[in-house]
Amino acid sequence: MQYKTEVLQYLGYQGQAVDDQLHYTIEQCWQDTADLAQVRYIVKQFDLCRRQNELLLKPGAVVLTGESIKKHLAESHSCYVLAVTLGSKIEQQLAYYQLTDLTRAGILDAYASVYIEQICDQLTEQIRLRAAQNNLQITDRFSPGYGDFPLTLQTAIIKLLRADVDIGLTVNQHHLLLPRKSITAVIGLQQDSSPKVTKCERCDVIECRFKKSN
Amino acid sequence: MSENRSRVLLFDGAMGTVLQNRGLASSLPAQLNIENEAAVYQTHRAYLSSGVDYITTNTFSINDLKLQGSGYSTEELITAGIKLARQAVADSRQPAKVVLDIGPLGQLLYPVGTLGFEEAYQLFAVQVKAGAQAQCDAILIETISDIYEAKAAVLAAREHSNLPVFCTMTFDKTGRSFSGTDIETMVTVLESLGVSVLGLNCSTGPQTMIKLVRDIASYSSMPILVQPNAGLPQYRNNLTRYDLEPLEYAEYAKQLVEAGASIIGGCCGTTPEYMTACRKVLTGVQPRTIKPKNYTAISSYAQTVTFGQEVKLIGERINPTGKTKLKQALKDNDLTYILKEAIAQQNEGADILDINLGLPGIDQIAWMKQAVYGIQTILDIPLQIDSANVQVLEQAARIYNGKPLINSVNGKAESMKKIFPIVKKYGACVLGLTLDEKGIPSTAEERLAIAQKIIDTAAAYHIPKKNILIDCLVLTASAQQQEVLETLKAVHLVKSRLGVKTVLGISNVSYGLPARDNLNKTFLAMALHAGLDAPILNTAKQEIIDTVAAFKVLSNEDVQAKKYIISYTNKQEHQLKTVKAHQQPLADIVLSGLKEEAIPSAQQALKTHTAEYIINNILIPTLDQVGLQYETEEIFLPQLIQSAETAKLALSLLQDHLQKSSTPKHNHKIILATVKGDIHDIGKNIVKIVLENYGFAIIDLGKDVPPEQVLSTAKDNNARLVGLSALMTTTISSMAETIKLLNEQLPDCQTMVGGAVLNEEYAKMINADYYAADALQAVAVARSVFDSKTF
Repeated sequence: MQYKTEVLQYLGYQGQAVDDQLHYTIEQCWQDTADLAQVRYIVKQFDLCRRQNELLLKPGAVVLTGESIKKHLAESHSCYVLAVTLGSKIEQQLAYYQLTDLTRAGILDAYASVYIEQICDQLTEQIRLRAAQNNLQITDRFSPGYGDFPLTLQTAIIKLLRADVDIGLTVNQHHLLLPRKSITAVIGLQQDSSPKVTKCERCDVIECRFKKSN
Repeated sequence: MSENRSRVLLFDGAMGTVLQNRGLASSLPAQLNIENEAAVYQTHRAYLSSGVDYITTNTFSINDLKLQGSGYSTEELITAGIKLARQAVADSRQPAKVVLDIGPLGQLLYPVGTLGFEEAYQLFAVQVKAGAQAQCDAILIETISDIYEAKAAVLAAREHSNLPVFCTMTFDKTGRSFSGTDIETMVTVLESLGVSVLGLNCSTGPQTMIKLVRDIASYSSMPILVQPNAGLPQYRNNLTRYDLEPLEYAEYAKQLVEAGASIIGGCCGTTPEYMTACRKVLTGVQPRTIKPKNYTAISSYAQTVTFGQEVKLIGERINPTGKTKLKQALKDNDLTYILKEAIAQQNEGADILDINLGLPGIDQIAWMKQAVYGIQTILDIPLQIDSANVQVLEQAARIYNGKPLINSVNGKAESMKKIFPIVKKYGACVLGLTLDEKGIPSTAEERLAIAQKIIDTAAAYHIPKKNILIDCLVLTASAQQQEVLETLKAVHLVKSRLGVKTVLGISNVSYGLPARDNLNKTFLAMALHAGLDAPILNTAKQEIIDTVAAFKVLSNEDVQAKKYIISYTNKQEHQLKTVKAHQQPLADIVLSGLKEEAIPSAQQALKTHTAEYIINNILIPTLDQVGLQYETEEIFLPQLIQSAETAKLALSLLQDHLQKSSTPKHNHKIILATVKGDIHDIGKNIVKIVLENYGFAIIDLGKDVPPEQVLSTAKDNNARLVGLSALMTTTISSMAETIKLLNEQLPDCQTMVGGAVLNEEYAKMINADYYAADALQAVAVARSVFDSKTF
């Protein structure tokens, strides 16, 4: 199962022997994730405007700051902005397991991270198919926090999509998405394909033994 | 508002949709109150022409947080909004009311989010004050998906105005709000807080709301307002459209009225045409008569417990009286112990938890709040807030997410004078004890009289009888044997004559006698037969749980003994399984992470060795071995955690023995915190358990901890090491700020940092003394700081 491989990788698995009990816990956490996730999302299309070296979403006039996003969307004339959350139920269960079963909490936390990435992949695929109908290509998904695309932009994106009211996805004063297992991202729409963003580029972890050297 | 009406009243529909249709889309529609007065005014006029009874101001979801950087203040946008609405009503010459629209804050409240309850309250208070000042006629709190936020808003509205308060929440198809509130809980909480009207808006079209409205009507004694979207949203050409035409919408509105709504309005996608259609279709339609409901219930944010339907158990264990471990936990600042007790009691079968943290020398208000927040984070069990201190009761009732049960008031004039205002203000239930200035009367009739007095006095504070439960007080059989039966007689009298629900603290009966469990379970059976609704007891006692289960069968509560059969068939199987105990050596158990066998194996080891020997010569070397295996990638993270949890269980047993044998134990205190703004704390919790296994005393401040709190705790505890974690690049600045503060004020205190967004270099940059990549490195740091190997 694809999820499981990724989850195990997340947890540092490199072929170690796993006994039946741990194996069973890992299986159960997968079920837990599916049961607890309250997937809600918003996907909206915006035009991209370029004004004095600034990249803006229209309507809404949100400025996409940083060189990386400008480079990423260099060929795009419009883009999709998405906001996805797994809701707060899984957070509560994680808090509960941290008191009763930390092992399970660790595994469930990894599952939730992988699960929401997969939901985003599915949405991206739907967008790609829709674009293909119009002979258009899409860029990879690009989220605040990648490169120099600042996390502070979460606030503007949530407001732009009205994600707080419509799907219960909020952002606090430290630009942190709440519920925690949530993602916002931008996907460009363009004539030609563009270079891919690797998993490592998307990730914040600095000291990572899996990081690809290039 | 609560009287029954002969016609359906109408609210207006959406403001945003109308403005958008006019090409005035904006991420801050309220700024049009100043920038385009005509557009807003004309929209109000259009709705007034549809014949609506209420128009809502163009002030949805504006507050000081959302307006930051907009150049506008909440007050000026609200004042302008009300002025426009007032003008529109005056010019229309219709008797419509102007309602201040208050929407959600856009932030999740602590402890799920990071916005404090008081901050939320203040943000709402600003809006309410501005609205009252500008003379709106009523307040509508709408599109709320978190009942906790609704509570903050309703309290702010009630405390800063005398206006009627309407409150509507959003629910999804599953019948729950985003934060998990169900319909029954919404009604229970909002009604108790004193709203005039409650209901639903937004979220779905009217189709799916019909069933929900029927549910609301079955619980509510208040008029119901429903403002659906114009059907389900459909995205075409980057625009959102809704799938219902005005007339279809109006037909559904009629069904909503039949389901129990008496006020209809519109949300996203609705326009004046929809309201015109509603007026037409609803003319001559009479709303259903609202029948007052008299059930006694308390709620958490996601669950309501109704008394009287079935015996409800109130768990008594979070109360330090006579509990050494809990007292120690309070002294050690160990909230985890309380949370684990809460979880255990719920698993044992408690329906409600009593929370009493009355221990001299601790900050009882702070502890009570921490406990309430903590339990709310992990469980949805309703709480009974128990304190002799009025301040503690008030503060806890205020921040409680739901409708609490306050323990307690009694028949003394002074008690009622202090407690009833709190009960009223926070819409709580209250437990009334049948004692007064003269003490506990010996006869049942006298206790009945006190109960009557409590109910009558409460009525003067507008507290309904359904929010009062009576405790007829259990006396000990060893001292007042002849009065044990008087208590049961009083229970019967109070229930039959006054019609209120009853509570008793069971364990008191056996005080001072041997084989207390035997007396407790027999008294419990007698009390349940006398009509007791909710015993307060120790749910860990199997005899007690068995007695309740048996009573539910014999009293026909557990129909066809279904629950009884399931629970007792499984139990026998479980007992068979646990008989088969493995006796592997402790080291193997820890290496394999077999948590269930940690305690039996440690007990076995204690037969041949002292606790100190086991810790130093078995446990610590095994943990070192686990660490080495992790470093060499022989095991991976879940296995490391499993072993750590297993060792922790064994250690907790061994430590009890250490205390008994009075071996001196070092007390190397380490403070751990996830820094302000950050709420990713699982990594910190892994570090915590591993450090604890190595004998370090951890003071865990949790997550989102302000620098000042880290400093003051470090000061109070003379801490030599503080560990900080952060998982977001945005919160490294909080970490740097905390370190700076510690370095300035406590230069001798060392800091260690960890988290995915850090490395050695970043750690140096923010002046941390140490960087720990994982839990094992944290142990190495701690060992070098304290220059110690083991206990």
